Amino acid sequence: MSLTFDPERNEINTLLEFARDLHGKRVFEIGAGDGRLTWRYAQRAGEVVAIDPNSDRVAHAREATPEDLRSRVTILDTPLEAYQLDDQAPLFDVALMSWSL
Amino acid sequence: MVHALEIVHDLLKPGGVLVDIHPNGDPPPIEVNVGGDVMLAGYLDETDDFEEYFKADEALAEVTARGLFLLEREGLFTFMTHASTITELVDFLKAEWTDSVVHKETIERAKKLMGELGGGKEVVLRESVRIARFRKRSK
Repeated sequence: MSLTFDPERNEINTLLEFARDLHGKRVFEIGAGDGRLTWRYAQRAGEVVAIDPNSDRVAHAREATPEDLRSRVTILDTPLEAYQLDDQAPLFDVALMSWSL
Repeated sequence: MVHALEIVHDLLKPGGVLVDIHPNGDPPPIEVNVGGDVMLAGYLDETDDFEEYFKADEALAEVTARGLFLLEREGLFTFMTHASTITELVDFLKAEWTDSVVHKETIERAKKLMGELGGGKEVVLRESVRIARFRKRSK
């Protein structure tokens, strides 16, 4: 048996309750790490931009991105202070500070 | 941390939502579970990480007091990491949570409990986590 994280789904269920409706929303996740939480909510969101300063974890997350999420999830290895919103990109509806503050 | 929240504020649409998740600082129990029976082996020593959690709380309180965000809701949930052995859990923590310490007494007690109890055993790290929802307010 390997480690399992939150099989009870307490984290994702509570997050969805607090974030309310993510349908069609543009989500910015800070501290996404290896994408563990991202994969659990991204299907409900319109678009996700997830950042983490750890390039190894980001590389792993990119490789592990589920096929059906690749078109809606962008993962960047950048610290928050260096993140630049694209010129034409709209602001985000939801920001998630995921065990990162 | 306050600066990070200021950046997030500027990246959100008017009326946008910030959801913050971080541990609440309670020492996380390390337990041995057998078919629903829970035996406490000890606690994870987070050394000075709890200071960071309190700083996070203070930063959120500051930006709220300054009118950048409005706290709409807060709560707690339990995040559990399940391992088949205490060694597996300890090895994971050494790799991923380098500031934390599982003391020898906890390891020995977990091993003793695992040895005494029947099948279907597992070791569980139980973390109490704070979640809060904030609404962006205009500066």
